[in-house]
Parts: sequence; structure tokens; C-alpha cells
Amino acid sequence: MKKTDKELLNRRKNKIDIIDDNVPMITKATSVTSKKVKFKKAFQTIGKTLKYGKPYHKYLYLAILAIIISTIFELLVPIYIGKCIDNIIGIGNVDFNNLWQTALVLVGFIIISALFSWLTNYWTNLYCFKSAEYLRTIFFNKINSVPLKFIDTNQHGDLLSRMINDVDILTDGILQGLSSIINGIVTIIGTLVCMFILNVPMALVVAFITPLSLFLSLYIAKKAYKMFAAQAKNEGEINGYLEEFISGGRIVKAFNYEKQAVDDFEKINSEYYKASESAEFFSNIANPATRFINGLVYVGVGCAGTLLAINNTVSIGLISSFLNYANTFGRPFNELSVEITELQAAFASADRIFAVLEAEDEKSDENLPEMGKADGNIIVKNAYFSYVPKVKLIKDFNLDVKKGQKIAIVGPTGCGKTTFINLLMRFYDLTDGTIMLDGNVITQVKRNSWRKNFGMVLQDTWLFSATIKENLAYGCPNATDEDIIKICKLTGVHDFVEKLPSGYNTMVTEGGNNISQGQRQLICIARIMLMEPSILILDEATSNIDTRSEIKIQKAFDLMMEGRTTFIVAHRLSTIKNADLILVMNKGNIIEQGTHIELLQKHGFYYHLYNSQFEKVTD
Amino acid sequence: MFKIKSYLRKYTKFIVVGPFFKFLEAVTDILNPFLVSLMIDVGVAEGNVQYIFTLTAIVIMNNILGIIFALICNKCSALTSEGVGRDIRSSMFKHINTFSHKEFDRFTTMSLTNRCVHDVDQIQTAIGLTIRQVSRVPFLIIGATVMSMIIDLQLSIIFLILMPILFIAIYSIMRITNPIYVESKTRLDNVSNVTRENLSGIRVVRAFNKQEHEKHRFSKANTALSKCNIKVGIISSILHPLLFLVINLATVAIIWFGGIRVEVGGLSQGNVIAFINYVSQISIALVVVARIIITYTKTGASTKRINEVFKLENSIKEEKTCEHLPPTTPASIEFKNVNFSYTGTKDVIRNLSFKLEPGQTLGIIGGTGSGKSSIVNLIPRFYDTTSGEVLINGVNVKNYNIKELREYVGFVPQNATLFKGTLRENLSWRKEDASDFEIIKALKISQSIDFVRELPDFLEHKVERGGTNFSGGQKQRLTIARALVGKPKILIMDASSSALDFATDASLRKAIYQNLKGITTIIVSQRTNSIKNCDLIITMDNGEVAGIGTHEKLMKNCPIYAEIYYSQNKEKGE
Repeated sequence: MKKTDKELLNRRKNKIDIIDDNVPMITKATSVTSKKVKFKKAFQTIGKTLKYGKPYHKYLYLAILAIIISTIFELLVPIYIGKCIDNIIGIGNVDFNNLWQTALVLVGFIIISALFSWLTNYWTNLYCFKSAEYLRTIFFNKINSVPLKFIDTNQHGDLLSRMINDVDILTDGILQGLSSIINGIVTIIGTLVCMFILNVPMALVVAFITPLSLFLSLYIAKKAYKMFAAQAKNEGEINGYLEEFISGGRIVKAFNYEKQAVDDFEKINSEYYKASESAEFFSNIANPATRFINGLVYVGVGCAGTLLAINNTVSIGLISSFLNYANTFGRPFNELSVEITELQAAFASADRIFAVLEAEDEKSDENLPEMGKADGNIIVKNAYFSYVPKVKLIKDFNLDVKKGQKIAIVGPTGCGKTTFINLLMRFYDLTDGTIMLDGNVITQVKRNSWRKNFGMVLQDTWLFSATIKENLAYGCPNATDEDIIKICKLTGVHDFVEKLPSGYNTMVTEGGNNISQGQRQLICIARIMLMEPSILILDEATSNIDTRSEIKIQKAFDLMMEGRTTFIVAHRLSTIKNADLILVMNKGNIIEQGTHIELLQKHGFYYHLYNSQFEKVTD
Repeated sequence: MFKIKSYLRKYTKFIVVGPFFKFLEAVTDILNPFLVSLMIDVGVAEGNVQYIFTLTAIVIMNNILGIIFALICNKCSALTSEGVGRDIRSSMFKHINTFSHKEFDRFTTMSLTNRCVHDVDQIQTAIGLTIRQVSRVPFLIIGATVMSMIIDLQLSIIFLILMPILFIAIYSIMRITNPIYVESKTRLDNVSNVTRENLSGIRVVRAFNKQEHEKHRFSKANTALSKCNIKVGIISSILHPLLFLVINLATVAIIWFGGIRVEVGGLSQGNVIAFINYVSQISIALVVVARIIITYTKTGASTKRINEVFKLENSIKEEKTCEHLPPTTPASIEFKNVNFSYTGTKDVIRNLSFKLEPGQTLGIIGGTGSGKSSIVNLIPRFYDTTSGEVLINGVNVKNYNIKELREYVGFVPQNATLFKGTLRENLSWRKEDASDFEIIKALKISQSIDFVRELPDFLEHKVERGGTNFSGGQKQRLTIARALVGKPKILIMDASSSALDFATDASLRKAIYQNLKGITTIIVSQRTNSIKNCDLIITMDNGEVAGIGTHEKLMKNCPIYAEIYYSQNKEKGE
């Protein structure tokens, strides 16, 4: 009655749809062969999970207390029903005085049990959801404290599904499951104890059937888990296929590919049918199976009871108590089998969550001094860097940039231009060598104070869901409206913002088309200009922008670069010709550097790259 | 029009057999307490051991039959619900494949996928639940009530009071919690949105030192979610204790009033026990009734959403008698006073006319949203013009067989999309039996042969869903190769070199020029260098044609074209 298998199944289905299906896992839950190791690992996982719920343990203790109280009283109810019935023996033989008193006690027990059963749910709920909230918070904080490498090397969809789905599965499975399991165990043991106290021979009948129930529910749990997994996999497959072919539907049209697409879909669809048909069949077995067990216990008790009653060793009321127990005896087994399935899923989720939470943080910079506002003189000395130890990327790199100089970084797509920016912003640490800003060594000052000197405009115009104004003031929360409008007028933001119905209070939404790409980029530029950084980094800032908008943005850039040390990454050569120094990169190395004229005279890589732009196709 | 009924027809057999066996199971269910009460009342009273054993054996048989009946019904329900689901999904996908671009514009991918999967799932749940419960639940309720009435009419009044109370309690709790569950889902979306933003914008967050600000933003969304969850959890957790309370109080009432009836001889002790049993049976059945009602409301909404998909008809219709377009004829393309609008209100192309001779190249340039892509979409009839004509070889495209028309055109779409499968499968989209020679030639022209050769499995290399294992530039070149296989007579490249660096872009254009003589080519681009050698260039500005002509002519007569050109080739303008 509490949680049906179908509901659980549906819940699991809903969760799966958020998970990107082609996302690789950081660590797959390792399959352990030995049962002993498996149990040890399970306990470790439970221990770890409980550790993260620690601030809310008082709810857990209260819940367990409430479970015990409610279960005890719940178990007393059938006994007292039996006692009541013993007062109703036959015509003219009903002891109303006694019946009245027993019934009153019975009502008291019913109320106490119901109340504590609700309190159990209440506290379990608080415990689970508060723990989930806490887990998500530390997960999010972790995202903000790990080195950037961690974020770059893991699929974002995967990290997200760990935080959203896995935390849910974990709290459902381990935390919620824990209270259900305790409840189930207390009920089963309690029932058996009560039965043995009431009457040993009848209790023996029940005890004999118990292992059968246990075996049956474990079997169902195991089978169901496998089938759910198969179904989930197939569902992921069908979801992925549909998404791919619906989003590519226009291409399917262009290539007359409809028939093949439909044929392929039929195949995947019938695979899914097979998997979900057996999962559906199996998931609905639990209820009839429980009824079956209940039925066996019921008749066993009935048979033993009546035989004993003939010998006058038991009363009819006692049989009734036993029959009542028999009726509810199957329920905890049913719930246990569901919970065990949940628990298995929860362990896998727990592993996925802890893999992130146990990732190493960025090196602490607590004891390092702050650095002040810099002039913008940058020295790079003997810098070495690689993302993966085996593949050396930057080797013995030296650079001396004076305040106000413009440095352009060019090279073909994927040559590692962005790596240099990563190092400059200390998103990644050098393997060897050093970078200095106005004499401050990059690793010897607080990260935040170092980054404060840089203003960065990237290819992806990242704005967060808030008003335009809030986005503009992102770097300077204290900026006044006048400051903001002044900068917006300079950058051309004001022109289009004014035309929007809600002006500066317009919400920027993800993928919302009220603001174009070009306009988004202009907002990013205004956002940086408001901060007045000493150094600018422009990383492919115009490559997503159409040409006409680019002209406007270029003007804004020129304005912004005045008097500031600037690093420009671009593949449009005409925009970087006037740089004081051009770094030409290829396959991760800086292969040439110099001014535009110098590099052209060299007749090297840059010369080739530059000319390809003007090469005539018809030649 | 979509009707669940028509899909059910195929499974009539199961729909009859399933509930029938469920009914039998319910009979066995309801017999249990009755038979056991006989054991007590007759067996014990008469001291007849033989009678008790016989009845025990009967009850065990009864239980075994019960579970067998239940399994048969389960199988029927699983076969029907999943089968219907499969059939609906199949015909939905088939229907979606008849959509033209216009219909695709109506739905987002997510929305269509969800309709195919989750809304169909909802229907499956409803069908399964119905087959399993349609006979059992009414039977249990009616059966238990009738049985109790037969045993004792007066005492059964308690049932008549109990049932509405139970039902209202269960139903209202489900009604109250359902909208909160929906609310909780939105709040969960908020939490995941903040996280997604932080993951994609992590560089910006760190560059601006806004970690604390983001933590605060997250914790606000997170707390809101948790509050909502706690609320719904607490309300829904009332249900179980409440049922326990009501059922047991009803039991006490039965005992008390039953006691009175026994005293006067209207009832036996065993009857009271049977009564108590019926109470719990009815309560379980009522929970199921409430669940069915909730499921049906949800299913109604899902059916409506599925219907919206089926109702949408392909708007691109083929003429009954259509002209053939032999795949070898060289292509001339002509636009005659073409107007086009997606929505019927705002024209994205206004009065466009031009003519392209076989083998000529056309360049189209302009800002985003200026109507460039819309022009090329009219040629393979992805959309139909609002007015005016698009002619290929002098015949309106509307008069051609659509399949032949699209085979005639090699199309490189703006979004470089590859599909899961091997590279060979992806490249053979236009021609199923394309030879290695043909594919390699296409790879050479599209400048992709170098990186494809480096792949360990060459043409058999696996392409991940969405082509995620290739870079943007590689995907673009592969989609060009895909369009070239099978020798189209018209090649349309819609901004398909935007992710290429200049050197590769130049070699690509050179290769196309050298290898594809006689093919009428249309290039949509934002780079003047990509199109300046075309025979004809159209400069678009906000749906209007700002200029048509050669590069030299446009440099003189079209200020917008000249402006774009100079912005990209500064030294010549300064």
C-alpha cells in the first residue's frame, strides 16, 4: 500500500530521462565477486552516506524510536482484537463489560500506533530531504572548489545527473530505505515474537512458512533489478534514437532517409518492447505473490488453530489474532523486496556521488597574500605545461609583455590557443616555470586577487538567468545605474536594451531569443568594461557573431583595449594584424612569434596562414 | 485522429482473457476468509478433524489457483499494454517522418521525444492497470459488501458508512499532493539550471570571483526544492496511518456492534472474524480505485498531447501527376518574384528573382536572420513559397516528384549533424550502395580524407550519437562529403564552412571548383572570401535583397556588401 512497484518503476523511468545516455561515467561501480567484500563495501557505503546526513541525525533517531513504538502498538492491535472476540462467544454469552474495557484499550492502541506511524514518516521525510539538500549543497560547493581540470574532463551532463538523479536515488534507497527496512524487520520479528508468546504450535506453522516468503521476495528483488536495468538501458536507447532523429528530422527529409529511419526505429522499438514487457510482467508479480504468501499463512494458521481449538487448547479469539497477523505478514516481505532493489540502485548512485565529493580540491591559498591592482606587466619564464603528463604541450615558453601592449595568439583550430589563457587566468597551474604580474608570482598570491586584474571575453557568451542589469553588474555588484548606463552607451548595449519592453530589467534566459548572440556578446563586453581590469583577454570573442554585428563589437573592443594589456585569440587574421606581438601556435607549441611584418618576412607558418585567406579559388 | 481504441483491437483476446482470470483470482481471494470461517464455525463446533483437513487442502489449492490466475492476467496485461505502447510509438514515429520542416518547427525535439516516450508510457500504465484491476476491484468491493450483507444485513451498514469515508480520504490526499509533485519538478529544474549554468560558465564564475554569490544562488533554489519536497512528503505520509486508523476503528465498531448481534443470536463468532477480513479487503481495493482515477486524469492529458502530434499533417503535398527529374540532367535554377514567410505574418524573403544557369555558382551573404537559409530551403521544397515560383529546369519544384527532387539536390545543412553508426553508414545516406571509391572521392573533395585516414577503423569508425566524437570542423567537412556522395546536380552549402580555419576553407573551395564542374552550387556564408568568386552573389539584408551581381559589381553598387567586405579585409579599405 505504501509504495507500489509500479510507482517505483515509474519514478525510476522519470529519472532516467534526464540522464544523457552517451555520457561516460567517471568510475563505474566496480563489480565485486566475493560476497564478503560486497557486504563490507555495502556497509562502507551506508556509513559514508550516513556521515553526510550527520547534521540531521536527530531526525533519524526520532524516526527509529517512532518506528519501534508504532510497530509495537500495531502488533498489539490484533491481540486485542482477538481478546475482544473472546468476549463474544455466542447467544447470550457476550461479556459486554469486559468487551467495553478491552475495546477502549484497543482504540487507544490504534490511535497511538497511527500517530507514531505518521511521526515516523514525518521524521524520515525531514531526514531524507534535509540530507538530500545538504548533499546537493556540498556537491555544488565541490564544483566550485575543484580544479578546473575536473570540470573540463568530465561531461557536464554526467555531473548534473549525479547531482540531480543520483542524490534522489541515494536518499530514496539508503535513507528512506533504511526506515522501511527497519520497519520491515521490526514488524517481522515482532510478529513472530507475538505469535510465539500467544501460542507456540501455531507460531511454528508461520515460522515454517517465513523462509519461503523470504526466499521468494529476494528472488523477485533480484530478478526485478536485472529487468529494470535492461529496460532502462533499452529506454535510454530509444530515447537517444528519437532525440537524434527528431532533431535531425530536417536532414532525414533532405536525404530521403525516412524509410531507413522508420525501419531502424522498428528494431529498437521492438527490443524495448521485449525488455519492458518482461519488466512489466515481473514488476506486477510482487502483489499476487504477497497475496499468495498471505494465503498460505492464513490457511496454515486456520488449520493449526482449528485443530488446537478442537482440543480446547486455544480460543477462537486467539485464532482470529493469528489470522490477522497472517493477513499483514506478507506486507513487510513485499516491501523488503522493493527496498532491496532500491538499495542496489542506491549503492551504484552513492559510488557515483562520492567519486565527485572525494575529488581533490584546488590547492588552498588561504595563507597567501592578496595582490593589489596591477599595471599590467606580464612576464612568463621557462613555462612548461601539459594536460596529461605524457603529452607535453607547452615547452620552455618565455614572454615579456609591457603595460598596454597587444598580444595576438593565432593558429589553426584546436592548436591550443586557449591553453595559454587557461594558464594566464590560473585555471590550470603550470607544470614548471612561472608567470609574474607586476613582479607578483602567480602561485604566491591569492587566486581571487590575481584574477581580479583580468577581464575576459570568451567565445561562449555566458550570461546567467537574471536581468540584463544583474548580468552587467556581475563583476561590480556596487555599480550605480548611472555607471551602468554610461558604459552601455559606450558599447552600444544601450541602443538595443532601450528598445526591449522591460529595458534593463529584461530577463536573460537560456536559449531565449529575445537577445541575439551579438547582443549577448556586447553585454559581456560592457560587463568587463564596468570592472576596469588592467588586462584583457579576448578568446575568439567574435567567431559566433555575424559580420554586421561584429562591426559594432569591434568598435566596442577598440574602445576597451585602450591603455590595457590585451591578449587576443582569434582566427580572423585581419583583426590581429596591428598587435604588438603575434604568437603563432600549432599542435600545442608556439612555433613562431614576432610582429605581423616580421612574421610575413619569415615566410613561415604565419605567412602561409595569412595568405590562405586571400588565395583565389580560380587560380 | 488518434484513438487508443483502434490500437486495442489487435489485443482483444488478451483484454478479455486478462480480466476474466483476474476475476477468478478475486473469487479465490474472497473465498479464503469464508472457507476459514467455515473451519472455525463448523469444524471446531463439530470437532470434525477430517473436515478441517479437507478444507485446508481446498484453501491451499485455492491459493495456488489464485496465483496462477494472477500470473495469466499479468501476462495478458503486460503483453497488451507494452504492445499497444510499441504500436503507438511506431505509428507516431512514422507520422513524424512525414513532417515537413514547417511541422518540425512546431515542436521542440524534447517535446516530441517526450510525447513518444513518456506520454505513451502513461497510456501503457493506464491500460495495464485497467486490465489488472477492472474486474478485481469492483468484484472485491461488491463481493465483500454482498458477502457481508448475506452474513448480516444490519452489521453491513458499517461498510456503507466506511467506504465513502475511506474513498474521500484517499482521493483527496492524492488530489492535494499531485500539484505539489508538479511544483517540486519545476523546482528541481531550477536547481539543475543553476548547476548547468555554473558548469558551463565556470571560467566566468572564477574569473569574476563569484563563487560565493553562486553558492548563495544555488542554496536558494536548493532550499526551495527541499521545502517543497518536505511538504508533499508530509502530506502524502498521512495516507497510510490514516487508513490504518480508519480501518481499525471500523473493526472496533464491527466488534462492538457484532457483539450486540451475537448476543441476540443474529451472528456467530466466526462471522465476526470474516467481517473483519472484508474490511481490510475493501480498504485495499479502494486505494486502487483512487489510483486508477488519478492515472486516468494523467492519461487524458497524455492522450491529448499525442493527438496534437497526429493531428499535424504534412503541409508539403505532392501533385497527383508529377514531372520526373532525371538525376543526370544539369540544373538551372530560377526564382520568380518569390515571397516567403514562416508564420504568414512577417515575410523573411520579399520579391526575390534571379536565374542560375547549369554549372554556375551562387553565393548568398548577409547577417544572421537576414533570410539566407530560407532561400536555399525553398529549392528542395523544405518549405513552399508564399507566392512566386521556384523553377528547376523551367519547371516549378511543386510539380516534381519530391523524392526525385531531393535526390537531385545535395544539401549541407547549417548544423553539422552526424548520426550514430559507422562513418560509412553516415556517408551512404544519399546512396545506400555507395562504393569505397565514391566515398573516398567525396572525402577528398571535402578535405576530410586526412583525418579520416588517421582513424583506426577508417570508414568503419564508429560515430557517436550526434557525432560528438568529431570536432565541429570535422563534422562540417563530413557533412559536405555526405552531400557529395551519389553525385547531386545541385549542391547547397548552408554556412557549412564556418568552423573551418581559412586555409582549410580555401582548399575546400578550390577542390569543389576543380572537381564539381557542371554542378550548380549555392554557397551561403558570412565570409566574403568564401563567395567572392561566385558567378552570382545575393546580398541579403533583413529579408530584402540588398544587391545581386558579381563581386565587382556589388563592390561598386552595394554599400552593405562593400561594408562587410572591408570589415573582413581591412587593409584594402584603409
